[in-house]
Amino acid sequence: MSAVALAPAALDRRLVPGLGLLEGRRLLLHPVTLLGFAVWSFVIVYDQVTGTFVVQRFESVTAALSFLPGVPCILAGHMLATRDRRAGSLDLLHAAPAQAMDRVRALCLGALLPGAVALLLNLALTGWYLATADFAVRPSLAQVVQAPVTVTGACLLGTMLGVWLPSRATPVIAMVVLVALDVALYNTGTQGNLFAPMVAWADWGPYDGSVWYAMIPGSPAGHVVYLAGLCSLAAVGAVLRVAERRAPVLVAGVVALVVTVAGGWAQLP
Amino acid sequence: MSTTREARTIEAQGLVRRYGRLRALDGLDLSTGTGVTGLLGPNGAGKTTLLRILATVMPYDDGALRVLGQDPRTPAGRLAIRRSLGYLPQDAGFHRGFTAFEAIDYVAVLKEHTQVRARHDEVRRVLGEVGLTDVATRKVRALSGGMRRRLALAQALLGSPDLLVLDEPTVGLDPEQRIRFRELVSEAGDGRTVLLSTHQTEDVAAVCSQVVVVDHGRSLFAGSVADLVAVAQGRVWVDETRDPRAYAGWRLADGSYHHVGDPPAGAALVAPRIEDAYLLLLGPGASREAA
Repeated sequence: MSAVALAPAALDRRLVPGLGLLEGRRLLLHPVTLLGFAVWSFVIVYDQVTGTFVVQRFESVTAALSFLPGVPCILAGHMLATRDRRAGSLDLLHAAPAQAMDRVRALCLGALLPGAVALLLNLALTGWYLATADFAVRPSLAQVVQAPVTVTGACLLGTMLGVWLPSRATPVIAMVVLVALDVALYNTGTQGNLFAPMVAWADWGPYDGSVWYAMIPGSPAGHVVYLAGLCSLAAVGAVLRVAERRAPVLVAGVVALVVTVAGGWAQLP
Repeated sequence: MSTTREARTIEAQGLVRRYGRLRALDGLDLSTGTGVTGLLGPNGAGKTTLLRILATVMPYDDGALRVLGQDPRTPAGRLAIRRSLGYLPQDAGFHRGFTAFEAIDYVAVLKEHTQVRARHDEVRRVLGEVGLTDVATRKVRALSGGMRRRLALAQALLGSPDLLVLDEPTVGLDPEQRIRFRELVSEAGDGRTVLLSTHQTEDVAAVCSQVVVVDHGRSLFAGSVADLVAVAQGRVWVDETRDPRAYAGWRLADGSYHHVGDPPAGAALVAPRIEDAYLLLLGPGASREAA
């Protein structure tokens, strides 16, 4: 028997996780992502040097990572998802055993790595604040986790947009729209605020943050579930475009939608 | 034994591929075994379409095809073919921000080289095969056109595939690199199947055991290089002046004219070369010649 006849009928299961790790590294080391982390680090250090208010510290661990590197990660995810198309590699890659769906699944897996690094940084920052300063209200684990989840979500959103809309303008428009939507939801009051991808939870008093007003009512754990649901929807959206069989992906999409709606409901006060 | 032989061949019968009204392949027949087979034809003849179909990049509309004993119309067949395939497309690009090593490593992962150390060894091996070891850490954007072409060839060599499909592999290579390429392809054709599309008749003459001439989506000729040259036997002559009746003619370095076509009585016939036969096949009455 020939090697062709003896080969297994399914793709090597280690391929997608292995490629996902490589893509995760590329996402993490993408100049745009690194710039986002660098600016975040600078702001944190700057605040340390100049002195921070209690509300500022609270928002640093609950929301800051959502803006930086979160928002630029949309661009990084998009650039990775469109990399092969821009390079003119599609013909070459199409002849490999792993196909577009495997590459997109790997990109989605890779999106976990920037989120994991963001989580480690956030946990370290939280620990530092707990050891050295006053939080006024101690952030819950869900509140510390939520911003890193949005980092992964941003990478996934960029990937999904890259798969469906590979134009270079797409991520820029998406970033502007997302920030505008976030601001608009913030201005609609508590319930609208909770549907924003980034929630600070601390209700500011005067802008200098010297006065602690209150916590925004709602469930941080529910918000994390809601964000995870949005992440899953983005991943499903990306894979759906290139799936050889769409039915299982659509089922996963329905599950993700249910999780998102359930999380969105659970987070409300 | 028969399984092994079948697993190293390409059998195409009446292959059709349409782009709207255009029939890029119009009932093409092809049969190749181990060794290097050259695919000659003018621009738009259907060579690239054929190679893309063989590489499972594109489906065909009609006809029958077995590649390495597998049916490319089934998912299992396509996967089996891809596992044994090295494909160099006409326009093979790599992300400009990758290093040469990263570019090949990326393709190696997609070719199921999942063990990191073994994969890196394989990447180094193929980079060495094409003479790019010294620039392995250089970004793709900093490589010359010839180096990028060799990089594309390197990815096709990953895993020493049973079938190599090479579309215009020598474009952009300097003479030394072309000779090195011929060495590589000759070695690759030993016990394996190599299909090589090119406009360079010298490359075909140098490395191919079989040659197929394609035009208008059909096979005009299939046979050995010697058989192809024999098509022009007695139909190539030289003269002091340009003969307007010749199908093609050009001035040689010594001032005489090399003619291809139907020679006049008493013409000074010379030994034909592969390009003479190729020109005759593609010229008026070429189909009759092939028949």
